[in-house]
Amino acid sequence: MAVTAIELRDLRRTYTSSAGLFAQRRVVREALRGVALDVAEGELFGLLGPNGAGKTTLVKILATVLLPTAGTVRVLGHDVVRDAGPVRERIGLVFGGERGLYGTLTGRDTLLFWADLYRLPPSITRRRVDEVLELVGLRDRADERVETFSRGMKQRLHLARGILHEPKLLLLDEPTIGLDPVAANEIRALVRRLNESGMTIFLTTHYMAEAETLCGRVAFINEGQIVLVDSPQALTQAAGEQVVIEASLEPREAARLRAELSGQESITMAERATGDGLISLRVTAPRGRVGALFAALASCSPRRVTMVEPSLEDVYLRLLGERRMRV
Amino acid sequence: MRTSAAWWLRILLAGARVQLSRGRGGNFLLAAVVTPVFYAVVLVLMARYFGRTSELAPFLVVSPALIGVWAGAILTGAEAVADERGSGTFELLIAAPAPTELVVLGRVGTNTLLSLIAIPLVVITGQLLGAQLAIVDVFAAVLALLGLAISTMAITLIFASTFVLARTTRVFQNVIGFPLYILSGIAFPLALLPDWAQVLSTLVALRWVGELLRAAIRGDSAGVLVPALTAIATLALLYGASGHWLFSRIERAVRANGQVSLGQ
Repeated sequence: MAVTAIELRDLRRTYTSSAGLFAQRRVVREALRGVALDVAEGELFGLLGPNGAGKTTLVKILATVLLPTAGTVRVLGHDVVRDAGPVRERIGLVFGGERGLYGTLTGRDTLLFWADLYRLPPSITRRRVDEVLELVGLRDRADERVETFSRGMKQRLHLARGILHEPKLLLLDEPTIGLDPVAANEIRALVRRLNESGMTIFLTTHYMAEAETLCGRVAFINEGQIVLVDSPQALTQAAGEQVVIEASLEPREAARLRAELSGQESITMAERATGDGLISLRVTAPRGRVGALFAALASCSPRRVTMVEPSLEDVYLRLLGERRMRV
Repeated sequence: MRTSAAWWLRILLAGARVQLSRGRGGNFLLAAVVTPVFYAVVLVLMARYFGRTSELAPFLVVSPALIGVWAGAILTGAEAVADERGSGTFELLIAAPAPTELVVLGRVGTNTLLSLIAIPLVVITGQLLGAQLAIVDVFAAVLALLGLAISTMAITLIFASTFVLARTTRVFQNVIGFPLYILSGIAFPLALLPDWAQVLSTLVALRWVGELLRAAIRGDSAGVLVPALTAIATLALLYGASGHWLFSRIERAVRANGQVSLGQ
């Protein structure tokens, strides 16, 4: 029987702040609203959702940085409120972005610093630091200051720090955010290898393709609530009743098509600029409406039309509503 | 127990390495070295004008030196937490198994030890300007400096704890030192303070350090040594325990109210 790495029951987290210049009023915002979730040991689990959905709040609670307002949170069998110490020893935490590093330390000194804080036995510390530097491909630059590293190198160093003490559970909060495609793929390859070696990984991301290729199961979170949990394959198969059409259009025509289709039940759209002055519109609709969809498209003189298999992104858009996707 | 002590030492040294790498040379040098030297120049020249340089020498030299050590420590206490927040490392420190306060203590302790350099610099400045100072009881002076370093590190943990709650620390760090300098009586005889302030001053370790140092300079430390060292040790323990208690409470409070990163 699989052991539960993460167990959430009716997890709630509210933030209270004050607003107003003269008459201060109390503002209460619910970031998590009754989240229930189980992640088994050995899983690579993805949490997907828009900005402000509660992803980072959830990661911070799992990492004991934030206390839950209500509910139960158990990580590797330990309650994060009562047993924060054992939880901290067994997890690794990696945030995306450049923050979280001392720029004036070298890569090696950074890891030696965290090795002391994670109580690595002194007899193995140097060997382990070399191992993780090798694993993330930073051994050649290990003795240079972190402030001279590229963004991708900093993210790899973050990952090295997160796995230095061989945690049972690794929490990754948008680890590829802001990285170029090559650097992002390097991080994804490392994450996959870590999971294959038996490490449980809880990953939050905006990138649907990342979740689809990496994760065994994903959950969609929106406005502090888990909307759906399943494997990416099951979700995309369930979406097979849908068709996805991608069309490149002049901006004016794209706007006209959006106006024509918006409000129609069961149709979702996402658009992005293609860089050549055109707009790429991705339309998801039930199979029964393909004819009407092509008729509408034909009147807009599209430069290119492609029919593709539904992806996790289409499931996401259908579930969480139409949102503009920026690339 | 021994393992824990060894681990705590590793954490303190890890904090020290970060502090040494961060430099912060400009601000720290100004607070801990340059400012006390200027104070010494002003005080010694005033005393020379009134023709009382040799009589007042222990006050003229000891007070700027002690102010320098404390100013440097307060500055680092304030900036250590702000620096961790600015670097985005504070959340990671809290998520690590090591007590965050030990990392902070390692950082402020390093600068406290470095700030002791203010003492010889102020003594040399005083000598150059005519405030001749001969330390008669070197043993007592060394003990006083040791007590100064330990008690300063301990009280800085209290400052660092309160700065965990603060968004801006600049004004507070500039102001907090002065009441302590006045209460400690390091720049004037304590008898000049009202009775209630004299009672309060017994809680300021700097007072006892100043008394012991001046006694070491005069060569009459025999009657001061034991009470001063007892007071310094007791107050250092009190500061350390209060700092630990405050840090734990405040750390839990910011985890509860979501202000660990203060919107960074």
